[in-house]
Order: sequence, then structure tokens, then C-alpha cells
Amino acid sequence: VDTNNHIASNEEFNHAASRHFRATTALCLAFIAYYFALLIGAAYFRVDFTAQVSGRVNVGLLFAISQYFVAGLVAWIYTRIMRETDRAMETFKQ
Amino acid sequence: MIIPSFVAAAVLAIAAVPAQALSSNVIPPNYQWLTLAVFAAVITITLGVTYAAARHDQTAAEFYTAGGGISGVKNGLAITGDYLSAAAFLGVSGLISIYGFDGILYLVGFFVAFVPVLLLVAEPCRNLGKYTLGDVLASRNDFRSSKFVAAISGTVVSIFYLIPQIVGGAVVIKALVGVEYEISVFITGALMLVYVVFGGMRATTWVQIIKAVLLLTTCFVLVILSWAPFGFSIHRLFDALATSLALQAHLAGLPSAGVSTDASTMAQKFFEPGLFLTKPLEQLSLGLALILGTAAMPHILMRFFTVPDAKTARSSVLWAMFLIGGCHLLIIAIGFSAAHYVGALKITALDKGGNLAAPLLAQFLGGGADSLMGNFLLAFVAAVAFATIVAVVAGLTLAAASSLAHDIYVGTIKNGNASPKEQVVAAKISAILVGILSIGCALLAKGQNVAHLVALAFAVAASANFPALLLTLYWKGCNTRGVLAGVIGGTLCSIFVVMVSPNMQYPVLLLADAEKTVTKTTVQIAQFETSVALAKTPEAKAKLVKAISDGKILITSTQQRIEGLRAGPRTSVVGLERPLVDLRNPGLISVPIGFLLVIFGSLFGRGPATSAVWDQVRVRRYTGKGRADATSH
Repeated sequence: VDTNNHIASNEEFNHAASRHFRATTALCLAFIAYYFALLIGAAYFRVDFTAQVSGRVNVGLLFAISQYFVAGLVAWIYTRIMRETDRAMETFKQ
Repeated sequence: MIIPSFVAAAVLAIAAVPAQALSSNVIPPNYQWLTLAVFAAVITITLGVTYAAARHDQTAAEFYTAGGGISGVKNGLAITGDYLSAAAFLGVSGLISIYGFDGILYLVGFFVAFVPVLLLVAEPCRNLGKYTLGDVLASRNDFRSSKFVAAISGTVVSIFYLIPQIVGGAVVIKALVGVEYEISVFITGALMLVYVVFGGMRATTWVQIIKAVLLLTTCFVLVILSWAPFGFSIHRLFDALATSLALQAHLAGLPSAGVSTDASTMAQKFFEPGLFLTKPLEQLSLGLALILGTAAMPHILMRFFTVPDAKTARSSVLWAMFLIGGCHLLIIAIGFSAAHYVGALKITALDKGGNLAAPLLAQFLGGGADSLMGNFLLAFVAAVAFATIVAVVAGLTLAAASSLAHDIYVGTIKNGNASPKEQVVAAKISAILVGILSIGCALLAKGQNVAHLVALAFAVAASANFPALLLTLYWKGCNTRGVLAGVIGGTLCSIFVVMVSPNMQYPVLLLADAEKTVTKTTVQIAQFETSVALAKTPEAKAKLVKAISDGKILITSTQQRIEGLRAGPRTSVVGLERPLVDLRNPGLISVPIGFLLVIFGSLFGRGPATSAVWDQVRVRRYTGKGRADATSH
């Protein structure tokens, strides 16, 4: 437990921790904004949402389905961030 | 999961249909044996894994976390089984088959919620907690009081979510198989108790894994069978759907579809927003509760304590996102297929909420109502729906039991000093209590609309648990007083807003509606009576006579309801004539209040020397160092 307080004052730890915190917070907020854009668009931007892109498939449908793939992309970016964080934290886990 | 308002959506479709409204089940009597055989097979397999799990050592760590050694793939499958409810599988595929685009919009929220789970909650919780949310909060706040409030809100969320699952499940099982409501509640309740009490987390995990595999396979098969004739072309399916007269007739009958000059424009509305979700603020409120609440649902959080380390917690969320996302996309495809093959009119004729869309599609694809294959597929889908329900309720029962036993009994009452044996006994007794309570509530709720309980469960999770959890994890200034204020205030605020919302019954408004129905129907009958004399063919005449007698029956039954309403109280249970807040889901109000309470509570209650504790939390969050080893107990 004492070692934890020791680690907390380590510059390398703090650097990695704040880098991780900034990256994940920004990523999460960006994704929440993307989701709310869908809800707001479906309610207030009907004209844009109903524009047909290909056959009967319209912007709204593509936007809704894209949430699944954008979430996948966010998950992938997160694993990249964590690869860095894991590497930096490895030394402190021993 | 029915009223064209929004929070209610998913559960109204399942929960709000009174059992007696469904005249007969969809499986023909001569194929009942097939259904029972498939049900028996599923139940036998799950009881088999429970028997195997019961042979493991009986310790608290085994009971709550299956020993903490579950792999990422298995835990991902178990999260999928824990999370995907009958509301998502049956309710949403039905919503899409009736309302098209808006069903998708509703479903997406249940998936995107896993991004905050992955990014903010899963790994830190694994590193800071042992069995429950209360453990995580107690890692830096006062042990007894933070455990106590976390347990209260955790139990509230679990039980509020549990009851509509059992009620909705029993209604659907009755519609599908014809098993009486009470029997279905008892069987579901008894099975969930057997899994949890005898097999603990190990059996619950296996039940969830089996359910996830069954559900994914079923959805996959249904999509393959229904999309193959179109060469898996979205355009060809959509075109066929849009030109079908059944869809156009259905849309013509939907008030939200409005009027269009030509059939093609009308059909296109099925692929556009606005048929079902007509209140933007309601959508935002539900969206907020979903995206934040999921990350603080006790049965989801609990799954992160079953893995050996933070990396496995991460990979299990990644697997869960992949599987849940995949299943959602299949459900969307099933919804459109059901709209094409079965048709919204037929689906709503059998169940207003559309819950029978997927089962009816399965029956059609197998060869129809008279075929062995069609009824086998239908029986299989019904059994999968049943497995879906028991897997979710088992996870919720375990979560509620862990709150009561681990946080309240062992934590608050015994201050953490309970023998290993006492801990296991407390856990099992709590599970039995939770089971009996939910079965009792489900029996009392027969024929009632319990959809607002789902709204309430997600809202309490998002406004009480989530702000306290997030700020405990990431804000240095957070302290015990803030957590207590946030959890208690967030819970009370959510309950209060729901109590004054349109979820409650307002006799004055119901009376006005009923009187309007009588006036409107009387006018219609008068019109029909004048046209009867002018009717040219006997068929048209018979149709009008039938419409007149239907209208008279409606008037009589409505007048009886009016008398009942006049005799009863004039106000809702809290004494209101009309709702104070026009939101079915309180999230938009209660989530900001929950955050503000934690922040202001912490600022005004700043205790001494939080810095050393904060350093501990920060280091443990990243490294897991200093976390009590779950398996050592």
C-alpha cells in the first residue's frame, strides 16, 4: 500500500495516467455526441434524414446503422490507447 | 414495450398487453408436444450445468464471481446473455416490423451504451472492486455508509428491472405456447432460483452463455432463410416490401404516417423516422438514461468481477460489443423480413405490441402454420425467448442478492467481519428473498402495465449509481458525503419524477378519453346507419351491420369503464389530476440532479486528507495493486 503512494508521485506514472485519461474522455464524449446527433437528427432534421442515397436507403438509415460501426471504431481506437497505457503501467504492476 | 410514447416502447410491447387480450396462442394444438419437447431440452441442459456447477466449493468468491477465472470470450458471451432481453429480441423486431426506422432508432441506444462501459467503467471496476458496486464506492469513501446506499440503489435497480422481465416473459410465453400466466411466472421464478441458489455465478454464467449462443444462432438462421430469396440484397428486399399492398394498407391505418399523394411515397415513410417515436425530448431522455445507466447496471458491473484481470475485463466488453452489435443487426434484418413475409397487419392483429413478429416469421419460413418444420422453428424461437428471459432474470437475481448479502449484511451490519460460511449462507438466503419478492410482485402485476419500472430502473442506474461511480473513479474532490447525497438524491429524484409522470394512471384524463371514444363512436354508428340503407351489395351491407354492432359493443364496454372511473378516485396515486412532467423517462431531469448532488455534496462535505486516498485509488485503477484477492476468501 505504501508503494502505491510512492507510485502516485512517479512522473512517468502521472504522465501515462493523464494521457490515458484525456484520450479516453475525449473519445467517449465524441461518441456520445455522435449518438445524440442521431436522436436530434431524427427529430429535428427530418428533411436531411429522409434524403434517399441509394434506392430506398436514406441518410437516416445509414446514420443509424453507422452507430454500430463507429462504436466498433471507437473500441479499436481504445485498444490502441490501452496498448500504450499497458506498456507504461507494466513497470508499476510488479 | 405500446402507447405511441417512447420510453414505454420496448417493455410496453411485452408487458402492457393484458394476458386475457390474447385469445389463443400461435402454436396449433396438435404441435404442442413439439414445443414442450424443445422447452424440456433447453431446461434440461441448463439444469445439467447447474448440477455440475453445484459440485464446486461453496465459497463467497465462487458464488459471486465463479472463482474469478472466467476467460474474455466466455465472459463476453455471458454479458451478451445477461444483457439481451426478450424486449430486444421479440419487442424490437416487432417494433421494426410495425414502425420500420423508429424501431432501429430505439434499439441503437441499447448498444451504444457499451461504449461508456468499455471506456470508463469496466477495467477500473475490475481493479477497484471485489463483488459489487458497493465495493468500488467503498474503496475510497466511508466503508459502511457507502456500501449501504450502493446496496439500496443496486437492489432497487435490479428488482425494478427484474419484475417487468418476469411479467413480460410470462405474457409472451402465454401468447406463444398457451401456458397460463401464473404457471409461467412460477416456472421462470423457480428456475432462476435453482440456477442462482445451487449454482451461483458459475451456473448463471453457463445459462447466459447457452442463451447467447442459442439466440445468436436463431437470429442468424432466421436472417439467412429470409434474406436468401433476395440474394441478400437490401435493395431487393426493401423494394419488395415497399410495393406490398399489405404495408401500404398498414401505413394508411397509422395516424403518424399522415397522408401521401402516391403509394410509393407512403411506403417510403416506413424507412423514415416519425412513425413511432413522436416526442423528441422523450427520445433524448431515454437515450441519456440508456447510455449512462447501462454502465451502472448491477448485473452488468457484476460480470467484471468474474475475470482474472483488467485486460480480460476489456476483452470481455469487446466480445460483448461484437456479439450484441451483431445480434442487433440481425434483429433489424428480422424486423424488416417479418414486415415483408408476415406483414404488420397480421402481426398487430395477434399482438398489438408486435412481440410475435419473430416467432411468426419463423413459422412462415419453416413452411407455415400447418407444417412440422414451421412449428418446429416456432417452438424453437419460443424456447429461445424463454431461455433469454431466465438468463436475464438469473443475472439480476444474483446482482440483487450480492447487494443485500455482501453490501448490507456482510458490509454494513457485520462491518466486513463475517466467516466464509456465513457469507455463503447470507448470499443464498438473499437470493431466495429476492426470488420470492419478485415472483410475488409479478403475480400481483398480472394484467398491469409495468413498463415504467424499466424506465425507472435505467433512470436510477443513470442518476444515482452512475454519477457516484464515475466521480468516485475520476474526480479527486469526490468524497463520502457527495456519494451519499448523489445516490440517495438520484434514486429519490428518479422515483419522484416517475410518480408525477404520464406513466401513472390519471382517472380524469382516462375519463376524458373514454367520453371522447363514446362520442366519436356514436357519430360513426349514425353514419353507418344512414349508409346501410344505401348499400349496393349484400357484402357491403353485411360489413356495415357488423361495424355497427362492433361499435355498440365498444360503447357498452367504454360506458362500463366510465362508470368504474367515476366511482374510483379522481386523482393518481400521488394525488394529481394530470402529470406534472411530460416525460415517461426521468433521465433528462434526474441525471443532471444526480451529478450536481455528488458535486455539491462533496464540496460542502470535504473531509480531511483525501489526497493520500486519491493516490491509492489512482494507482489501483491502473494497476489493480492493493485489490483484495477475490479468490483468497
